[in-house]
Amino acid sequence: METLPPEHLRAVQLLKLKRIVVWAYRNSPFYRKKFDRANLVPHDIQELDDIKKLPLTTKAEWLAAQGERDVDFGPLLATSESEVVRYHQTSGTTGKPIRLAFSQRDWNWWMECWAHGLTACGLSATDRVLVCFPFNLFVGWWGGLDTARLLGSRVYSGGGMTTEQRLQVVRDHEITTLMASPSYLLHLARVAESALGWRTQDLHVRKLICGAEPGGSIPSIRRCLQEAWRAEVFDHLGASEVGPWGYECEAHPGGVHICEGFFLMEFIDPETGDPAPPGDLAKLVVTALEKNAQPVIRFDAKDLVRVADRPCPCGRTYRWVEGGLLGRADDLLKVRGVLFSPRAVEDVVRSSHPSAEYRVFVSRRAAMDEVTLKMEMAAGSDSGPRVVDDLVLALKLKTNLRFHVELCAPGTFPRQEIKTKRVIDLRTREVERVVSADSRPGSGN
Amino acid sequence: MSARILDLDREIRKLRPLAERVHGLAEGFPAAERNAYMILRHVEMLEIEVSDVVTALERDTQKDKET
Repeated sequence: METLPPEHLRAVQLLKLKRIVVWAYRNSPFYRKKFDRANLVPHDIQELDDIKKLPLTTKAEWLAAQGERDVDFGPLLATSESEVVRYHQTSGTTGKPIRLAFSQRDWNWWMECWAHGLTACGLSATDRVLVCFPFNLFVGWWGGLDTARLLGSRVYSGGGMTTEQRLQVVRDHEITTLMASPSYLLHLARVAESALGWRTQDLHVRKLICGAEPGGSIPSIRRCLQEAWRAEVFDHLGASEVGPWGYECEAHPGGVHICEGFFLMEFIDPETGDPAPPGDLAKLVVTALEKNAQPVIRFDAKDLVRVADRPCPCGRTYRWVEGGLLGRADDLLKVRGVLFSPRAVEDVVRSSHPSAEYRVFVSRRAAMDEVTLKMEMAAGSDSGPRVVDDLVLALKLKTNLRFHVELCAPGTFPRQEIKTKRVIDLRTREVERVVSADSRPGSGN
Repeated sequence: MSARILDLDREIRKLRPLAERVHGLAEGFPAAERNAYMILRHVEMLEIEVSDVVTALERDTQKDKET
């Protein structure tokens, strides 16, 4: 399917779209109501573009549908409860988590999506894979672990371990592949050197599969990872609500393929809501073509991407998004009339301070927005005015904003194994949620 | 479409009735039931990966002939 000519791929997508629309209409009270409100029936979907007749589905709608009880899937469920074999949740980084139901069929499908990415990485029965993840209710890397096993690799669950314990496993078991967030992979390398006196380049790791946060496709972070581990970096994209939709191939084109045999993607201009052509910044709207226990149709994922306007040298006809995930539409902040993305700050910080932890605070003083970068400095490193000046200049060039920069002691900010939220808008009440997330037990050491 | 893909699709389509029959007969025998259930779910994935593609391409070819 990965090399089908585009017109044939669209034929496959249309077949699957019609099927999932009928399924959702008949079995999901949530989507039935959505169709009814739009005066639509499944028969109205005869071409791929017809799906645009249906309004977008948002996370807020899903949360409202699931209601106040903490155990129901609510009207989102399209199978019987007895068919639900896996329960997961979204990470909850941005608020109350969404409850996610998976039938066995769904999980097989989820793994099949993952398998596209892991075979593109060249994962095989000779690989030993350590997954650095707490293995809690967040769906995270569960699919990666299960799929690596299905492909014949030996898998190691890194749950319930300290960073030093994980490093011990990496060395003792000659781990060849690590799966983790890019910031945690950098943290692992730093701890290996500072606490254990090891050179991670000398270990057996040859593949790093990054996900759970942007970074795997940011050039400065990739360079740091490649240098720290002497390994190939593969970015992997997805969302808990929709599935593992994106994977980097062995050609490393500078972005990530969309698994188009399994997902129907729409690319929407984040400001106008109109379709965005290749090359333009676009917001993703996702339809999962096979997910049946909790169908996903026109889900506004709010992820920002840019579809490449040229084919990938690998030969796959699946389109690819340049630079991977460019940010989130709801993370974009307007400061003094200028839109900026947290990813821009990440890129600047990582270029010169690869493994520094930091936070960005947006506040308001006397009706004027202010933005402050607070960054940890490693023990013994230069923390003089020059560092501050260099960062102020680099951030100004990147974002067109003047940042206040403050340096702080190592260990000021907790490390997270999954999804670190680094930009805090103090102009809203978001600070309470983020502060409580930062102080949650079980963060990485 | 290659003859091999069409052969593959044909054989895959034979699997479901057999898998469903085995699954039905396995009811009440836990080990057999577990494994028969997994076979059925994997047959579904084969259908998604192969049979769906063949069906879509056949419809596409048919549509082209009609136009």
